[in-house]
Amino acid sequence: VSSFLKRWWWVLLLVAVAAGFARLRFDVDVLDLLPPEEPTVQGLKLYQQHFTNARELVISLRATDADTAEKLSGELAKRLRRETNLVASVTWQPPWMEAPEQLGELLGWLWFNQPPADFAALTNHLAPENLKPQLDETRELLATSMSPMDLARRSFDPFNLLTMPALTSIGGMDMSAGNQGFAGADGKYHLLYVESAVDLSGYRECENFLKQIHTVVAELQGGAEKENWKNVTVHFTGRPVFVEEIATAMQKDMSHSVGATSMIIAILFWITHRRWKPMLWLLALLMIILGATLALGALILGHISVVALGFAAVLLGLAVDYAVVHYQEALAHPNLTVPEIRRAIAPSILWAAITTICAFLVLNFGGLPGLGQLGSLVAIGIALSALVMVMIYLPPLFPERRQPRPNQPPFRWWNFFIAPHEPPVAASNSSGKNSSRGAFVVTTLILLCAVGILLFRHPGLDRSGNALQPARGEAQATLDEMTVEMGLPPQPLWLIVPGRDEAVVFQRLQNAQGILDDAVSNRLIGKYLFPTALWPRGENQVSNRATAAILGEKAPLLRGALADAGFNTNAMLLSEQMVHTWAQAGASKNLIWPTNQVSGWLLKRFVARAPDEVLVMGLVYPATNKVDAAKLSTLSNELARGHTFLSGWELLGYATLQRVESKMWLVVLPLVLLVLLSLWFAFRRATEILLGLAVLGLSGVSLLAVMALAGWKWNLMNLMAMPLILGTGVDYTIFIQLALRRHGGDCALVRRSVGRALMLCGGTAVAGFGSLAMSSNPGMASLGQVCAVGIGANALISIFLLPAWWSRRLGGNAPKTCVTAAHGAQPAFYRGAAWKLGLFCAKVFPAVLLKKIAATLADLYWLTNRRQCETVVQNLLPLFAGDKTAAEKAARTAHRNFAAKLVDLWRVEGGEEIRNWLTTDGELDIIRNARKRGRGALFITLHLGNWEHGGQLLTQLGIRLTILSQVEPDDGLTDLRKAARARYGVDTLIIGDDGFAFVEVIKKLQAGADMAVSLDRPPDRGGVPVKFFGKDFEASLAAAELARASGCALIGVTIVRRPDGFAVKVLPEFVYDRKNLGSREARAELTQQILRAFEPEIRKDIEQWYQFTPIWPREK
Amino acid sequence: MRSVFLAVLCAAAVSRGADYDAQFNQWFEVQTNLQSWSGDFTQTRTLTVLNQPLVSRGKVWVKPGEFRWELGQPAQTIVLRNPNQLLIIYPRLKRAEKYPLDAVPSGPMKDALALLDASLPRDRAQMEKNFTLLAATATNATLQMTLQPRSEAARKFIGQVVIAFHTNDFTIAATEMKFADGSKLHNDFTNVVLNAPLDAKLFDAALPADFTVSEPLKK
Repeated sequence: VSSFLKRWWWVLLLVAVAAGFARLRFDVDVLDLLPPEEPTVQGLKLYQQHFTNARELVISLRATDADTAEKLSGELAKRLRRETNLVASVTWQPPWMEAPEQLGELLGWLWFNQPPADFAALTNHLAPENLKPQLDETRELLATSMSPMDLARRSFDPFNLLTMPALTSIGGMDMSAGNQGFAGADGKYHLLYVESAVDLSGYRECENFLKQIHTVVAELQGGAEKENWKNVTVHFTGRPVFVEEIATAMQKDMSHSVGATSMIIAILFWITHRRWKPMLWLLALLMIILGATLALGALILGHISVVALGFAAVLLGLAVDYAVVHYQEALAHPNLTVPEIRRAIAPSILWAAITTICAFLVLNFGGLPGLGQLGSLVAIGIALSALVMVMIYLPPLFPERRQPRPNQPPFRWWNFFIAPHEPPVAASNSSGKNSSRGAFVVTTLILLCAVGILLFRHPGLDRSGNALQPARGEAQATLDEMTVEMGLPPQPLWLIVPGRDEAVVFQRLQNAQGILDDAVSNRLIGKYLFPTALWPRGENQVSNRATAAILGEKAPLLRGALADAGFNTNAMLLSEQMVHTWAQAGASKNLIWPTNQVSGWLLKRFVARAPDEVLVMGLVYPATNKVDAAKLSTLSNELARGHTFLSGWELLGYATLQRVESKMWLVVLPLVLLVLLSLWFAFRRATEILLGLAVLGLSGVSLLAVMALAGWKWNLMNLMAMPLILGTGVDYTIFIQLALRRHGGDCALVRRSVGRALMLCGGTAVAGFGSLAMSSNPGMASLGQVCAVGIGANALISIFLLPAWWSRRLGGNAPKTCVTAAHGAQPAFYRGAAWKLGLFCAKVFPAVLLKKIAATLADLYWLTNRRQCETVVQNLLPLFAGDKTAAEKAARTAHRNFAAKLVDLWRVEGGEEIRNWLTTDGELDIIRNARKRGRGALFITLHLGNWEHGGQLLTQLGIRLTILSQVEPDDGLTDLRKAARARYGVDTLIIGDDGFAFVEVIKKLQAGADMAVSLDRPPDRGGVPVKFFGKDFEASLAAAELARASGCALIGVTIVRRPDGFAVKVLPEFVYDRKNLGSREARAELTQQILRAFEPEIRKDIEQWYQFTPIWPREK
Repeated sequence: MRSVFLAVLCAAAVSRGADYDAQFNQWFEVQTNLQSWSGDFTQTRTLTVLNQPLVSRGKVWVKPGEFRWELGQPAQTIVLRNPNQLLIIYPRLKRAEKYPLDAVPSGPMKDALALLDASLPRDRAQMEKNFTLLAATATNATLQMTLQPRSEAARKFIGQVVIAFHTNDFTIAATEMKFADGSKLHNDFTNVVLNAPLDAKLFDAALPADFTVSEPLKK
């Protein structure tokens, strides 16, 4: 069933990926990154959607002189117009210059929109009796005027119909404007507007269209007139170019960043492992993960934003970690099968993945949908990576180890979330004090340098929207050049007024005008331009219809009057069009707009019409060249309440930053909580948590200093780097500090093992983010830079400085695996505070109740700390000949018994005296007889039953015992227990690694002292191989060594709990020949003899044998 | 074949132009040394929208850098040019248009104003800078130059300029501007007086207070 399900999970995943690919669409609109409810974003979106013609290409042409520019522009337009399959139209000069008569439609329509009284006056103006005087006046003017404007206008407007207020607002209609909108001030710069004849909805279409246009231009430049084209530059801009550039940049970003990251991963992997197969398999899986993530992202999120595609490099850097850790584990444990490695590593990978997924998902709270999408994509990718790397990476690399062992218990799904306990690794002496000192010097230097730099310079905050704008490619550079050449304001603010119909828009326009008038009088803005006069007035059109119908019939009359006055038909062209428009207007039933080419050209500059929406655009000019973004943002919000959107890149940056700042706590707070929770769950020790925070602090200061030096600024995008840097920092500090615990504070060993892996992981993450620095999107590039430096700092500080700090703070009392096991595995109650609580409870509550509570807690511990409990099972397994079920049963009972034993111990340490010893006189005589020799007695005990009660028993027998002990995992606990023992007459001697302490022990024994030592756990070093329960065991030589050195009596004692008391068992004294103990073999033999003697006692009370750390050597 | 013919024709015209080189130089010499001149003129406007030309009479006063044209009797339009501006005054309408010469944007308007200046050239270099000599024809007592603006943009507005002068006293005889739309503006000068002192008030740009002044090029 399991394999069936497994297969179906993969099939389901494949189906989802296929569906995702089918749905995959890229969104190149950077505005979709921004919060859609923000008025400035809405304004910009409306502007881009309705006022930038998706099919319009703008060609700029710069020549050395105005004549050449003019001539070549005309030639280029002519050449392009021949490409009828490619180009719908080319406009290279104001369209009314080529077809001035077409202006008649617009002018007639403008009259039609005038107030009824004004329009009605036209009937009088054009009454038959007024026509002759009117035309006489025109003739006189044409004969005597020296005004070029009058001459040009009245020639084609003999009835003087152009005199109306609305016309004063139309720029570009008079001769003075000349080529305004088409040529620069010096005439050397010309523009051509090319309307595509083909659909340009996709970036591929844009790419093909531009390629063909480039070919046409190149042909012309290299043709017969190529001499004229020398020193003439042609550039392209407009939406097709932007789309093509952004899409190409996206492809380049993806291929470059993915390529660069993959290359670095490959190099680092090669340097570390020097093996082809795992490296190539890793790269192949990474590519599969990228593709599948993209597909799943499309399936879940819909369109994928161009900026969110930066996920690829981020994901590569993170995903590779899982494979590397897995692979290293497989190399380190050649005896383990792949399922066993998976079982061992999966929990850490899965929990690390869950933490990282949470950190990236938090980006969705940041207020920027694009970055949220980036976070979601990385989160999906990480989940996929964890799954793929855990399940797929290793088997092909180790085919002989892919099958589970025959007797291997089946893994349940929860096994992948609960890690088995890792056996401790013996510490070595390789940690040097010099490197520690060096690390502190480096730490101090970094701090001093960073603080020094930050005192004089600090990274500022870029409040503009530059981080969101596309990079300066040809399209943007040409647009900027156009702006300068055409004398347009460099950062205009657009005012977009949408509405369901013309009346609604007009109402909103008027409301906005009131607000803008106030803004002008307050000098918040300099001026604003609204085409209000050109906006159709529905009520005027309704009222003017009858008049228009009358005027529409005047064409024959006007033609006759003109002929009578000596004018020819040329003079009637404009008037004819106007009269025709009125005729149509008179017959109309609904609101009308002008429709011919010239009208369309003019109106589309500020009017957009969609099936269910009409929009008008105005321009706002700030009062000074320094935009007060805060006040303008307030104005924008005020206008937005009336559905009028003030927008511009400057304003957009400020408004969006404000939004991000206001939402930053939604990102930072969960992140800080996540960081603290992670640290707490990982360490549960204040010092290590503080050290973790210190790493984050130093890394943060270093990042700020680097940013200050490099002149980088925080911006809308890279602010989001903070959670990412915090997340990785926490990971690294946990990895290193836990490794330090496992390796007993051996810095060099930690650097060689975990440090090396982290270097690889950190290096790939830095490579991933660093490659983003090459992104064409400036915001994404800055995010990449900041993340690369931040994560790099985290990795370096964690690997090279943190071990030294850790050793300084915790190295002195670092738990070592000698008599006791590594304290990294000790439960939480082995802390001073918890111990005090236990003592308190033991005093307050009845023993029966407390033992019930303790047993329940033990059950809970058994259920929730399977990794720790599994260690106990493994320790008991040899005693049950590999019967796992029996071992598990015994281990579970042992946990409950241990809980009861703790209660007993707290009661004793709290001052209670034990009276219910179950002893036999003969056994106690063994002790008495041995002591009589006066050479001291070494009581050997095991972690069996209530061995600690032995001290009180001996005290009651009048023997003052000294217990040889390692330091407890908590300084407070060591002192607490020492004091408690002293209260019932037992001394404690902390041995640690100090060789002189051992000499002290020998001296005391020689002086006849009584001491106790435990022998059933392997020492850190210096152990000898013996057989224990028929299994290889690394035993401590401590007892044999002390016997050889002092000649003391060796007495084995066990104390186990029975329902009616504590059963004391004194084994027959271990007899030895002191002279023979000179050889290590003899000492090993004595040790073997001692342990063999204890085996029956342990078997009798397996469920009171408390071995919570691994005691059996690792299989080779 | 046609273009070859045109090329031969142009070459012939230019060679004919070279034949009159000495006379051109003499004329320019007179213009350079000219302190002022004045005269009457008859202006004939042939517009494409009218079946018949429009004829008006007027007076002109010219001195270096300045001129005054009065069109119509009494004057319907006065054009006053001083070094900084061009003022077009409509006395009957009590209206004036001011064109600051340094603020005219490039384009046909600027070119046209430049040509107005250049159509009364004072030296040969200035003329050749702005015009190409297309043809030179001599009648009994006049020499006529047909010039084409060098600037393509200017040609969109004024296709040709014709200047005719008397070869006996080197006074101006006629000017003509042929506009791109086919219209023509022809001036025939009579009673030309050279270097007579001119009343400074003629070039005074002060306007009566009740005149409305507009600046059509001001944005």
